[in-house]
Amino acid sequence: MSPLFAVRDRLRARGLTTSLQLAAELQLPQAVVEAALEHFERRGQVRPVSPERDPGCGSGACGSCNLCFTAGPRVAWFRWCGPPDAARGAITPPALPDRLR
Amino acid sequence: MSRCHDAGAAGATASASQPVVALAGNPNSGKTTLFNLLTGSRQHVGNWPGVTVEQRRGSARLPGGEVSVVDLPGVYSLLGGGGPDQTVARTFLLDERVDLVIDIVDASNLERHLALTAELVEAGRPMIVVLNMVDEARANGLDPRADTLAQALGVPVVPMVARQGKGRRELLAAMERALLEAPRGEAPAYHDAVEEALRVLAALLAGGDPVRDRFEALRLLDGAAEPRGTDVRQALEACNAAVEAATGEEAADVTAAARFGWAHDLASRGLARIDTRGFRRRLTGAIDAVVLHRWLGVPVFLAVLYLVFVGSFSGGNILLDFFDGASSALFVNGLGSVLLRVGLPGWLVSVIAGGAGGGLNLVVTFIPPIAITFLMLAFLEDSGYMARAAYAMDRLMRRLGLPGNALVPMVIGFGCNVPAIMGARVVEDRRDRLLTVLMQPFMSCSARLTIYMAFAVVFFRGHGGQVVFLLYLLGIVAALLTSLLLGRTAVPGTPAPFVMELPPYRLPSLRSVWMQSWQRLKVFVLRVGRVIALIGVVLFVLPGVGLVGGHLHGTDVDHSLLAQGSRALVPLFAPMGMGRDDWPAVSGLIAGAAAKEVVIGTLNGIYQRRGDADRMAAYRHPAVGRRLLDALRTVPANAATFATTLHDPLGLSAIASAGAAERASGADSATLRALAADFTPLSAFAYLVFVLLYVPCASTMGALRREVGWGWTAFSAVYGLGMAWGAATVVFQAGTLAQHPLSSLLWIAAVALAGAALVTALRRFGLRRPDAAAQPVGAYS
Repeated sequence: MSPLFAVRDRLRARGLTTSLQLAAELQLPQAVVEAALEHFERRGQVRPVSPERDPGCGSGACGSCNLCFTAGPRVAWFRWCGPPDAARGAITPPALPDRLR
Repeated sequence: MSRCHDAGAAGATASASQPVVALAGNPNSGKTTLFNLLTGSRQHVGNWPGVTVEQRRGSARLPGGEVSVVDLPGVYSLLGGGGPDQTVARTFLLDERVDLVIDIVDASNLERHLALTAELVEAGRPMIVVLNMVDEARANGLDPRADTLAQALGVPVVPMVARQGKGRRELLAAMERALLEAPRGEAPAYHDAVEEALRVLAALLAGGDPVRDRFEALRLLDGAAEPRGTDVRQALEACNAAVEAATGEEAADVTAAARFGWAHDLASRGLARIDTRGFRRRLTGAIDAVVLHRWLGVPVFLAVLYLVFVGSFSGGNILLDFFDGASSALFVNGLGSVLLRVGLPGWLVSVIAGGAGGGLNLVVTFIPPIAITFLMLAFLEDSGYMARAAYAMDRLMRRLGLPGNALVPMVIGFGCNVPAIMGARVVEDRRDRLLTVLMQPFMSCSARLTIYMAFAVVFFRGHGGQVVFLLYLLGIVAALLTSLLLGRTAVPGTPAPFVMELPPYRLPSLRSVWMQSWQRLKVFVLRVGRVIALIGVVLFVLPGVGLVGGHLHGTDVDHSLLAQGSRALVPLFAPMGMGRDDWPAVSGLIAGAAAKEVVIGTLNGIYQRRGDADRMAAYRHPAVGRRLLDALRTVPANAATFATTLHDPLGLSAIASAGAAERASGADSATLRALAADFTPLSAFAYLVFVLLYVPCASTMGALRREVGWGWTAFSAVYGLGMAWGAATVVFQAGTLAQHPLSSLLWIAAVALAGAALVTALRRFGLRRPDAAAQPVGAYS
């Protein structure tokens, strides 16, 4: 199976994961996984999840501790937002972003 | 180097008759390094027309004459994407006059870089591939095979280390030949339906260059270009439908997948794994088969952990008496004697030598077992086992709502909870990190060890090691239960998947193990020592001051402020077996809220005052030399018993005399006698359970606040206190069930009810959060 589809199928099964996790599970270089994710992101089927956009922990001390934004490595998460099963006939390719035209 | 900042001038320097060589590649593939290597000082810098993207041109001398070399901006794809710099590179490669493309790929990241190579081959340009950074690839255990790659690609492949100029001559020769032979590679093979679609679309585009038309058709299928004209649009829709019908996938995915597959296949063939460590790999496999085994992994880890403690305590016991005796001789008796001789008043000498010196004595006493614990943990970490322990625990941890790497800070927590809480940063997901942080206060830190030891020598002489190990296990269970409870109520979610690269097994470097252990020990001694010394002074004074007639006066310990305050709290501890006369134990707990290590120090101070020990006599006749000699004599005797105490990590069964027990615990005989009088083994165990679970020490609270905020810190303190009280009460009441079944059952039922109320409250807290149900993994809020 092409690495592109391997990445897609695994992400689709997981729903949300990181490129590092996919690379480890599929035994692929992380850069290749990220390239595959970029492909599906261009196609509107993958959305990067930015942890920075999420609010704090709910302890009432939002933003005042390391739990929020300063601790831990920055990790890019990706969410599958394409069709759940085989893509055949299920989606309409979205309009390309201006930068790709 | 001559420089010209005018694009026109830069372009004009290249003779129209000179062949044009373009350097193309992904960003950071080493293009500019190669450009400098090829052109030396014969280069010009300007801007590309219309954009502020730097243009670098130069000339290189080949045996057959000079060529013009263009250093293009890094580009990931010829199909589309990226900023204006990538557009410049793309346009130049597709539409300008280029006689030869040198495609620079990073050998250590070959598969990713070959994606652009696939598109360059599609574009039909004559090309050479430079396999750059082969040294880094080899360092990563990859052996680039240029010949195999060249055969598969159909174009020359030159291995290079451009940074060091290696391969320059071979590249110049290859360029010379390529300019004559114009090698074009073999493009990825597409599905028949795609090939047919490309043929149809290219025919419609009919731009005059079949290769360029095919590439444009590929861009259309890939969705990277918009069709111009109704006929092209309709043809594209029909082609997309045909490809989808034939393959079950959309055309854009099919074409991209073909290129990804092509690059994957080429990289597999062009890179060989260097296997210079066959034996080590087999050995790793054999060890991993056991330590990572589905069922054996966790028991093996627990066994390793047990051995760490057995080794630490048994090994530490060899020097423990020496450290105790010697530090007592120096910091208490010796210091007191010196202070008396310089003329300080007796009360001040008592405060400094008895309080601060006694506290230091307590810290130094436990250096041997703690240092050995740190050494053994560092050894395990450096050997590569700890990473595997985390992996082995992942399954169990995930069931409890945590990733496996939450284990790493837990192990650190055996030393001290503060670095463990800081160490929770290894957990990437915020929800998981919050749970990991909140677990740490339950891990038995080394400070709690002093308390366990003192009680163990008095009440559990025959099974002291096992009791201490049981307390450690109880701490782990409490931590995991906390995670399970919070993860399913207040902070619901799914644990993020755990990724960890397993390092190879290796013989740990002595230097590394020593440095790691030394750093940890230094922190322990300095931090703990400072706290104990300071609090030791306070606790030495407090039992001597009381409220008499509304005024503070010097008084005996039983009428001191400390006694009065502690007695008021004793009824709260009655269900866990404490009587009215056990107020010193309550004082110890209060002091322990500041730092766990001072619990025994407090008990020591109080019981010593109660016993009216004549410390001043010891200061007047310190006998430091004799005491040091006595301390030294304990080393060979303890070493002789080391081998026989593996079943009893504390070596308690080997301690026959009260004096030996006193030295091993760090408390003096008056303290031990008083403990024996005030507690039963059951109430002592309940007390130890309380000590294990109750509020984190002040430093840990500070770390908690820093990592998870005031709210969760307050929760942690209250939750710990409640859990400690509940667990200690259940232990004592269950142990005395036969004596008073009704009241015991009522107490146990009350604890169970309180637990149920806590679960309900936490669940309501979790549900009250409007976005709780919609939380994605890894983005907990």
